[in-house]
Amino acid sequence: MTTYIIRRLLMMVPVMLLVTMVLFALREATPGDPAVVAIGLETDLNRDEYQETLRRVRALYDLDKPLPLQYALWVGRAFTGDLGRSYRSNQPVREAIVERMAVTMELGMASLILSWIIAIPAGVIAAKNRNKIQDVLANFFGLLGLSVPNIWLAFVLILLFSVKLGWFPPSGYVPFSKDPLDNIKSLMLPVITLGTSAAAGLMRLTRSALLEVIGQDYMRTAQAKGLRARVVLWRHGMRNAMIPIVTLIGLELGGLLGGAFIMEQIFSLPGMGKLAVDAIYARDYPIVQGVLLLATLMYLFANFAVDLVYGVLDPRIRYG
Amino acid sequence: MTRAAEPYLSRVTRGAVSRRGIVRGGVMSAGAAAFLAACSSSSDSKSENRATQDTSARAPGATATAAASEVKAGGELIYATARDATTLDGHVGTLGDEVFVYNGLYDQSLIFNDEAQLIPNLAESFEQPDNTTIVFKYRAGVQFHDGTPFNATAAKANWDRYLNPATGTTGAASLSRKLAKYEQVDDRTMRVTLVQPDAIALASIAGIRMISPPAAERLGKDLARNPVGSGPFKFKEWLKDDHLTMTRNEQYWNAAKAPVRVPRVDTFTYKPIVEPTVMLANLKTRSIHIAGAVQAADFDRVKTEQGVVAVQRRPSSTSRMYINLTKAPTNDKRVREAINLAIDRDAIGKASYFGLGTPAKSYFAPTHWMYPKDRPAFRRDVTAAKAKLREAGQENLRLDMILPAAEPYRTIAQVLQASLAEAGITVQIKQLESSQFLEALRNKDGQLALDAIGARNDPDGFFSGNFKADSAFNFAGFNDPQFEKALADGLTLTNQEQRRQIYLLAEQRLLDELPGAVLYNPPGLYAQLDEVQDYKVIDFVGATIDLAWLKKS
Amino acid sequence: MTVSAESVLQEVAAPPNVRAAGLRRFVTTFHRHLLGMIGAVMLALVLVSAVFAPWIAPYDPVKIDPINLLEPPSGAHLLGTDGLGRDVFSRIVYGTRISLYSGFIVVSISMVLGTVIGLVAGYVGGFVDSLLMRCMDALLAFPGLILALAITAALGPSLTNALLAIAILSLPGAARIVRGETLSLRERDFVTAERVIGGGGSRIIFRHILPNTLAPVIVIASLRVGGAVLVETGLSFLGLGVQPPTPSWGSMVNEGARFLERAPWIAMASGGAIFITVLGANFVGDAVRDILDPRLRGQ
Repeated sequence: MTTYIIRRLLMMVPVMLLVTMVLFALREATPGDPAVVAIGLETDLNRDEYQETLRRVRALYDLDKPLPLQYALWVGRAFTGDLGRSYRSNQPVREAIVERMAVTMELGMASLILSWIIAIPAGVIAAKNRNKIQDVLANFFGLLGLSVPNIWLAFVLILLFSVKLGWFPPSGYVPFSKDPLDNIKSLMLPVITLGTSAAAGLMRLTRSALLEVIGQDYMRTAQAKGLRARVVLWRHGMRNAMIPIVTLIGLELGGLLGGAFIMEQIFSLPGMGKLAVDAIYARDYPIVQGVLLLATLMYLFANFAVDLVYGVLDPRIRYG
Repeated sequence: MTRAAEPYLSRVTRGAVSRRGIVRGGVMSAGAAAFLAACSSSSDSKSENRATQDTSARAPGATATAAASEVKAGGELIYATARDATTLDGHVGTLGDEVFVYNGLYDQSLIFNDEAQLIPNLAESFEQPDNTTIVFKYRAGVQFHDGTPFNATAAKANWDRYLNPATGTTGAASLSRKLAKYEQVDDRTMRVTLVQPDAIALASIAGIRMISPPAAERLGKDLARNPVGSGPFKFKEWLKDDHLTMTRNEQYWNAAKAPVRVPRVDTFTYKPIVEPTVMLANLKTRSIHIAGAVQAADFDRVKTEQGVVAVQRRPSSTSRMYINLTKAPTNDKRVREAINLAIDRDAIGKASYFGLGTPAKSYFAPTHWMYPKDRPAFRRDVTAAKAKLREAGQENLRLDMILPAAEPYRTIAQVLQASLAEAGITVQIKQLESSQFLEALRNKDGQLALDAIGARNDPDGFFSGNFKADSAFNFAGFNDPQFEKALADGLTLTNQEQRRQIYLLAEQRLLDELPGAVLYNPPGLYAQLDEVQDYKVIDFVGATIDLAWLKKS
Repeated sequence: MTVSAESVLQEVAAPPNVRAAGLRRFVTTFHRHLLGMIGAVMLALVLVSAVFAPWIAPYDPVKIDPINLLEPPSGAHLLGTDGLGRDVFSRIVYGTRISLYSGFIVVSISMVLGTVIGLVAGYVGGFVDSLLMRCMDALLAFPGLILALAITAALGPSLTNALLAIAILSLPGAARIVRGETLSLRERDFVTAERVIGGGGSRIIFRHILPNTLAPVIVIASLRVGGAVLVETGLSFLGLGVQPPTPSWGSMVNEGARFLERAPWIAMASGGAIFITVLGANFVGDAVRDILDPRLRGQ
């Protein structure tokens, strides 16, 4: 088992290197110069002064070095935990990420957990009552949830629950440590928005995974053996159905960042998604690279955790 | 709408404050404060008319200073705006709405009063023995937030830092060019010598913000997130994209500038909120006190909102379009004239600003002293435009228009596209995100480019950045000897009437040759809760966050 | 934006044991699915609007009218007007073209490329397989929206570029399924038989493997269309994608959000249009999957 773990951890390294290399390559392919953005529309400068300033700023950012060297420098520093400093604010990238990680993680995890709470029981009920009214309704609402545009839903929720009813604040984030109740209130609307579509997808998956499992021979054997239906369903059915479900959860965990960004923008939440996108626009490469590294790590670890859970769920899968 | 990348130019539509390099407004000058105090209290008019019409940059309008006895100190003032600050280093920051923050944290040698004149701030007096020398005499008894005393040594250290390439100040290169030398005369006096008489250089150097030298030394790069100045507010904390908080500086040297000591509020919080709908929602739910910008589309409804005061300021900015003289077919003057004739300025006003603001008729903004009040407005004439095009043999033009991928440019571009189409000109719209837009502007990528320019103190500011021959962002490729001479002369003159003549001449060259066209003057719209008192936005200066107080009912 | 995760979940639940049903059987079974039929009707509505837009739309969708900005729905304007005075209904009708185009481009590019990658990986195996799958993994690790942003930044903001970005993001799903199919089919009898006869690799691939991977690919494709439209909405919201004045539902949602209180009909109309289209696509996709996958049809 230990060898398996070590092997998996080691395999993460090439993927991370690949991803970060692709990013560096993208930098070259993408038009737009961070120095240009930093200087902005500085109209005091004449052409020569502008070039001079450009040159100075680029040197400040190490941009005048050849790309492979820049990459090597960055990787080397990253190993020691130094992810550089933001071009715009000079804030250490690691600090910037840590500051905002809590928000994105809370938003993402809460959305996922909400979706699990809704989706898994709903999916089980739907599978159990195949083609009966519960199933039809569940399927229908599932498809509904998948089809609603997030952005539209977010604004509608703000208008309804915040402005008209005043139940929740329209935007902003209150840290849990400062006030737990306000924290929950500030995240309620974005979590509902994100959770809805996640729940819809998960519910349909649970239902279909469970249905597939139900049709298997071992299920009928278990029933024939006289085991109670509930035991059959949960111990045999769900356990095996969990595999694709867990796969999805793993993927969703990894994909937190992208989905959260638009919510962070609309609800003014200081999260990593917004940090990353603002950095992309300003070509603030250290931040983009740092966030990307973290996102990749999160994804890989999520996959890893999922695989370990497979080992628990399916005795046929053994590692080592 | 890439709100995440709402560019530096967004503040123009807010009508808030001017850009760095030319004007560095202080929070409030002694002169302006006295002026306000002298106005009679007229708070009754507020209840009749929720929207206050700011008819000039100077008139405080209906929300004049209340009697000293009514002013209550304390509380937290929360101001919301679309973009967060990028750095709090007073020498480096490019200015947007964050100028509010800078004005709260830092002082300058001199600041502008609301009549666009330089008046004492940290320097208690200044004189000009000849037209290239300025002597600043700094006041005693001022200290930075960390206790370091302010004096001429500190001032010199700050100028050194500002001009040092390693600091990363982007305006430093041009100021260096204009400075011959500067020296410390004694503990409270600095003398500066310019290469030639230059009003803007004076304003620039007088406007350099003062940061505590030991703090700058100690913090190095971290100064950007831990500012130490001498202003009315002290920095407390900054969670980027969430909030920035400053607290009252109890040792503020200018606390006694108004009848009740300033700053009045205990805490000032600056909150970036990207979506205008969400910002308004926050105002309505009373989570913020001031919405720094209100969309024209929402203004009517905000006016009728209970407990909210909607403010419409006289336009202080101009949206304009540059026309490329170096590219066909706009290198033909008749084509440019046709374009100017075909522009429908009223339509822009209606579509972008719901009729608020004014169609532009000059490169100067309505609040500027150079604004030609009596000049007739541009008249749209599609027939004449078509005639010109026929004359030029260009009856079915295709032009590329570049613009930042944000409002209001997007809407303006579409209106222009439709209006020019009526004259047979097909416009291809190219929205670009900021880094690419800047590059395209510099490289003259296209025939038309949209831009906007905010409040400027000095008339030169309306021209030099984009029309001077050697300017980096001269999209039009304009190179006119008469224009150049006028600008050069204007900088050296001090008599306002003489300057008026010279700059009118410069403007005439632009109006004749059409390297650009002026489009519209957007209204400055913002809203505040009615409990906010004595909060005013003043062109070239900033906002009176030190005077503002919260009336508890 | 969990497009990739979403779709992969569908794939995981649509196991590679799908049999290609004959066309006639397909049609007869399809029409027994109520939801599928409803979805088909919805999509047909969208298709008809797209094709006959010039006849259905009462106004020119790009003609601005500064006098009648943000007019509420009325006799003259069925769904009101937008911020530039354009007729919302006409823009919705013309917007069907962009949405269909989006769905089509994304799905066809990602399916074709994904199939190719999956076939190659599955058939050739070994190092090539490893390499390709690692690349797919790396692609999945990229936060979707950020990659889309980077691609559109690199290539310039336009609908096609945005769609290209989304299509690339959707590759791993199709690739994985096709690879799985290919791997299992590779060992089957008819392939061995072909080899014995002396048939070459390409013959095997094209005659035996490819047709059998088509069914799951079709299932995935039909389930992806909705997602593609939703992601286009997101990108347009950010200003990438369709350039003005072309009407797209995504940019209308954007505008609708700005004017939500003053002119809610813009958001409602565009949000509703997206919703109906995606819902229809999902209904149809669901039905397709139910039909093509015998294991899920009743016990």
